Amino acid sequence: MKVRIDKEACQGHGQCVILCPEVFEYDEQGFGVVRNEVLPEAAERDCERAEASCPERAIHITG
Amino acid sequence: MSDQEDRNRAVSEARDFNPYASEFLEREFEIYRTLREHLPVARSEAMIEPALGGGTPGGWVLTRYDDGCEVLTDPDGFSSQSQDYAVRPWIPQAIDPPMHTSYRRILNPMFTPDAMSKLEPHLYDYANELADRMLEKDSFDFVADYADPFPSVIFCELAGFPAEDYRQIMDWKNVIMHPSDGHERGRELAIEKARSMDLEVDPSEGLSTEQVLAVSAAAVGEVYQYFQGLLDARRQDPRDDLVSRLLAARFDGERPLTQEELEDTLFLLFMAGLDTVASALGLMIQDFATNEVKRKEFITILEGDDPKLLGQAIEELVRVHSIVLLPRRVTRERSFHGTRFRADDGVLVPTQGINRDPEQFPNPDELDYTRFPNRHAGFGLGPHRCLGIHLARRELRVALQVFLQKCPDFQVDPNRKANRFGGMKGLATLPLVKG
Repeated sequence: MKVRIDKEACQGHGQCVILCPEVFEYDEQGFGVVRNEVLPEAAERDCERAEASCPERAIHITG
Repeated sequence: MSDQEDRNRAVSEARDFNPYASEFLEREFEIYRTLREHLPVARSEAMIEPALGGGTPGGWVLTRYDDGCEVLTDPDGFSSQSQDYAVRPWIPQAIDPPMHTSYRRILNPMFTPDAMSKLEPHLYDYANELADRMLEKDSFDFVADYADPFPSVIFCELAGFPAEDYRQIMDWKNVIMHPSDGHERGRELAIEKARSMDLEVDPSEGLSTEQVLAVSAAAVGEVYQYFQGLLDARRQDPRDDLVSRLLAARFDGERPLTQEELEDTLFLLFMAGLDTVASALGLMIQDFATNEVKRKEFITILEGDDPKLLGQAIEELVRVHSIVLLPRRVTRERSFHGTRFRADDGVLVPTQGINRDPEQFPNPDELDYTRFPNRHAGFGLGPHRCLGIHLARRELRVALQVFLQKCPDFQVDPNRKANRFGGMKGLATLPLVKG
């Protein structure tokens, strides 16, 4: 599974960081950044929850 | 009731819709539900926020989550320069991209979770101090003694407003934001100010719209003067605070902020940073006072070991107790889901309305700490997403945790009345008793 954040859409709400800090963190402006685009298996479920929870629909999981 | 009767009723509700009046609060969610079900794009002729500069009464009100999102994520079609301003538009709240983006680039790093985490020990110290003092008595005012001072003092310190000016800052805030929405102290201050300006006021009637505008303009003028003094002081003697950082900032990396930009930014921080967390806390605890099951469930989550669950629970509390009404101005004539919007029409997105849309939030009136997904708009949506979001979340968590740990059982004081106010709603007072 791979994940990316659409930087045009991300507004830094941070729900992804709340739900899946293993995968998501903030940059120095407070916008979302993916730590590693290839997901560790243990984080897959929480990452899917993060994707569903983004108010801006900025997270996209593929594979 | 027939569809036509339902729609007529909704049209009538819409026409009189005025969320700034305190009477609105009694039927708030019922009204939002009526509008959402029968007239999701509704025309109000009564909606006016005189304290914020007046403007033409009336506008469109949106109550569907999807419609609200559409507006909030389209700054090109729906401008944030949506009101008349007493001095100038607030920065960055009343500014549109691309300039908005440049201002946020200066402010964002000052409000990241990392930047806010440095405040944490101070938040706990201060919450503990306030709570201990408040809980010496068996009956107390949760808002006056805790919910109001806690975020406001922290915010003043962060911004660089001197601690000794705190009372004056709160009075200015109350007279500017709450002259006629039911807030008793705001009303009192507004009447006092009007009289000092030789305006005749009948205290049983309160201020007229023109008087509110005059009082507000005068108070805003005083606040701007205060900021001028503060900016001068920090120019001489910079400190580790927001005012000093704003003085050092460079717009697009190229030029310092002008005097006007500095003042307009400080004014926005003043308007946005003082009431919001206090109001949310008051509403949350008022709810907990009569909802033991949800209170105990939240205490269990607070005491538990699951930060993800706690984070989600705080988000759900923010959703249910959303307080912000978001105004926009239509930039060009267009059709919006079958309704004709004219250029310069006002559009209001009440976050408390769209956050209860059952299509997005099943059982929307229920506080469900594990609600998923929870794409709530309590902190706004789109580029104007709340700058203070990370500070707010942290303050809510600490304030609730400290209070509920020391006082897990409480009720509304049967002998005293809470003072609710409308608009960017909240509680000015919340008398409680232990047990």
